[in-house]
Amino acid sequence: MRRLKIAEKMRNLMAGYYMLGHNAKVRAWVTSGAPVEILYAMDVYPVYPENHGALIGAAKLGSHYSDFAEKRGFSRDLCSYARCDIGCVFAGTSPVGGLPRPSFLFACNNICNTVVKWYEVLSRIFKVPLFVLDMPFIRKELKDSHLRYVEDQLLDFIKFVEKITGTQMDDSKLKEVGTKSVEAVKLYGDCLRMAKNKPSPMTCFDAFINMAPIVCLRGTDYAVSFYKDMKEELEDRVKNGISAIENEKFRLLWDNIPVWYRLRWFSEFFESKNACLVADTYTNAWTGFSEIRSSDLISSLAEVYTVSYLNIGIERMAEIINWLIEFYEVDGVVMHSNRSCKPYSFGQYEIQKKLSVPSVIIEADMVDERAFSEAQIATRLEAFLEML
Amino acid sequence: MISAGIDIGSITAKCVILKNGKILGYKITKAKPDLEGTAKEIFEDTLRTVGLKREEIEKIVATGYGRNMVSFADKKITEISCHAVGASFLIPQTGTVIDIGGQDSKVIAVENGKVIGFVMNDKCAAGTGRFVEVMANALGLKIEEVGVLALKATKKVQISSTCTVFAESEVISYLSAGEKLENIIAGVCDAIASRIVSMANRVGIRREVVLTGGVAKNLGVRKAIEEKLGVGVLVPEEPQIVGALGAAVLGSK
Amino acid sequence: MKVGYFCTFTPKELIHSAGFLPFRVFATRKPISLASAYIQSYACSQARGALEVAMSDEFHGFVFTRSCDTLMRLTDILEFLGKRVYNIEFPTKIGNVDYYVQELRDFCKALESWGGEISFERVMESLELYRELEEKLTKLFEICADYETAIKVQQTEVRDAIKLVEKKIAEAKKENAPKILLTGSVCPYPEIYEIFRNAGFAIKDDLCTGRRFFEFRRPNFEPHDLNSALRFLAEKYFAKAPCPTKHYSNDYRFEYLLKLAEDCAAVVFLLVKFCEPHFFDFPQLKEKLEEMGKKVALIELEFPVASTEQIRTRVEALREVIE
Repeated sequence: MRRLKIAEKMRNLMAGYYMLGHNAKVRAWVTSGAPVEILYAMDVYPVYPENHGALIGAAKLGSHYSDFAEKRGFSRDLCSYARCDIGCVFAGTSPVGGLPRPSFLFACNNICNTVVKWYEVLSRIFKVPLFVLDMPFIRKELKDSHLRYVEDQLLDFIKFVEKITGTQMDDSKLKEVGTKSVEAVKLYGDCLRMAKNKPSPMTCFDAFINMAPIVCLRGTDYAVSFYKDMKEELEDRVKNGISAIENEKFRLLWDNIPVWYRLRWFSEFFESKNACLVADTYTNAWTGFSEIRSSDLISSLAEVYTVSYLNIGIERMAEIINWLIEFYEVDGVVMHSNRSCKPYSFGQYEIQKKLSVPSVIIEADMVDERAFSEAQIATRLEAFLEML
Repeated sequence: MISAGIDIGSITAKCVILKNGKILGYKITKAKPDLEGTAKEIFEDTLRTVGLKREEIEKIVATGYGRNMVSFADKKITEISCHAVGASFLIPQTGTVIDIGGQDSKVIAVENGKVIGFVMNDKCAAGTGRFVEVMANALGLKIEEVGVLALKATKKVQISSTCTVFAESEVISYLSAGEKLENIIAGVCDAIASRIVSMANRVGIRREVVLTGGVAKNLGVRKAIEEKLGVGVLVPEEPQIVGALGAAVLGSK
Repeated sequence: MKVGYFCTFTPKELIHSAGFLPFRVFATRKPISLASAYIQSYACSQARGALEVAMSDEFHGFVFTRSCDTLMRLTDILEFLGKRVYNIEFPTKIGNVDYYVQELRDFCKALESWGGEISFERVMESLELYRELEEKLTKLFEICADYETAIKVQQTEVRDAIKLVEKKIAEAKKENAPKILLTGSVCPYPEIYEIFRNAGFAIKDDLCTGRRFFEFRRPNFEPHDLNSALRFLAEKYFAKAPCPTKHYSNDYRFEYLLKLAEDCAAVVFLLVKFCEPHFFDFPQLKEKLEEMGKKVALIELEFPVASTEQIRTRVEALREVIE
């Protein structure tokens, strides 16, 4: 697979991001689906344990850090992001030297309710306040009462942060951050949409490697300039007829969180079978945040963050996948049945029945390499590709 | 056109030689840790049985768990595709293939000889031949006796453990509680059938349902599956060679 | 007509007042086979077993209250199977009563669309009946915890349930043995509680098949119309015996559990395998309980329970350690 040059820039950017944290005055550990715009607007440095978990997975150290948590009684059946994160806290270190101590914790359950439990554990360990932004689960339609519930909490949260930082929220600053956030998300979306080209200039593995800035730096100038550069590189590739893989015979879509410790194995496997993963539901989840309206920021944040991809009903998820299948002209779907993520994995059997193309399910875990069986997965994927 | 199909499983190896759409001969042996060696040996054995020389075989296709170790094969295809093709070759109206092997089991949805969907259980022993082996052993029975004995049952005991190891304890406690051997073994067959039917429900059942793999010879399991599916299942004369046969058929195309 | 529910936060009073029978769905005692085609094996066996029951029995509909991620997805899965379902968004964060009152209002509309009848009089009648049931269960448990009854009443019409509990109160005898606290989600197997009794323990619990079904701090006002009746219900359930699926300020659940354990010699975590909320709480609760000088044990359950022998051995060993 032809690596994108932007990956080098991404590594430097993220290394800088992690270093910044150690000097930041106020640090909050936040969940990946939280409205981080409020934090950046108040100069609070956001730490992302989930991104850290992905890093640990990519370094193939999932079981190593999970061990520290398991020794303290945390069950191996719990989400591996949580286990590794808590494990790192007990270990006192990690591949990036450990995360800086939080001043407070911010958990938003629009991705799952597990984060609430995980962050409760952290709040007891660090003895710092935890704010839970409780999002109603939008199984069918979004109700006004749901939005008002979230808006009220957003206002509560702002007061919560003001108390901790000792400063007031500046509305114009929030607007500025919101605008940058929207700009970055739009550029990010443009990058992903480049895969619509046949052959595609990128695979979802490129997207997985380069998604960290939109998750962790959304709302800053860094994310904007990064995705601008990435878009340029991709446009360049299309112009010069450079495709991601040599021989694109099959176009596939990936569902669920990636198997972080096997990204290279998967990309080489698929390339050897002339299959290009042109899209995936995970990176696509961040494109939804482009709908933030600056005219009514709080209610707009409430709306956009409440209907995040994992907070909607299975029927709507299937609709989104079918839309992606059509848009990217996909031949088949590879669904990762991820032991660590119940909201993302339960319902996959039903979604399979609703898809307009064939699909296959592989069983693994996103960070814990002990749940990965190479022969098993290779056989299933080979059989699936033989089917197409 | 003469082709050969070699199915290297983790427990057994099978080889089928096909000439102009007719099975010339086949062999089944125990697999040894040296997978390439096993493949060579069974291939040569089968050649001897049908009286042919290596050069007369135009295409060799390898399948099964050890397929990637067969260096002398012209092509490697998964056992899913091969089972679908093999079953359809023997029974053209095949709609579903249920393969219960020594260490894995699968259900394959088939249409006109092609795979349209599949579900595999390759993580857990319950629902595979291993399960029968462990239980038969615990009850002091030979594998061959299991099926016939199960048919004599007057009731089925309930085996609740999802894990083979714990199911073994359950079976032993039934034995010491005085339960009849045939009723316990019927419960074992029922437990396997349950798992199989669960998988089958995920792909959907289409007639004709064809049972393959070593466990297909077990009348008790067969009957339990038929009862749960509510439809009769067909078993080829030699259910273990279906994968190798499918490989040979694909080689001849 | 049975309306199935899966969590003790469910407003059974409303279901009953609408004219349905609120019926708690527990995992089947038979091996799980149908459910495996719809949900993965790493879903807890309570959810999978409940799905099995839901698929094979006759229910008019199912009500979910967003207890955990698994049940959240189960709602859709049951709907795809052609069942009538409704999810009440019981908030994870205990606090905003107005929000939940609106959810209850919407739920009333759903019950009406299912053929039920909602009126202030009927709601008050159900509130009163369940109050009586809860008071009587509290009284029964004060004498001697009776799990067979606690489980049974969750699947019985409330008037019959009250009569059953009255009968049990008359027969109940006080237990005189060292207390053990059982904490977990559900354990619908009466024989398992007997194991603890036979080993020489008196049982206290923090379970949904125990006091979490009937322990409430009742609001201090009398409803005068449907709106205030819904508000009464919302406040009542916000003040229910706490559970790990909800987030309380000031770590109230930990405080509550540690207080419950004060007069107990040991605490046994009776947890269902794959249950995230309970397993996240476990290590830090264990630490605090051990600091208090309590012996702590963990027993992992899977439904259907294959063998009670393993549990018996663990419990007897625990008794020996306490001696």
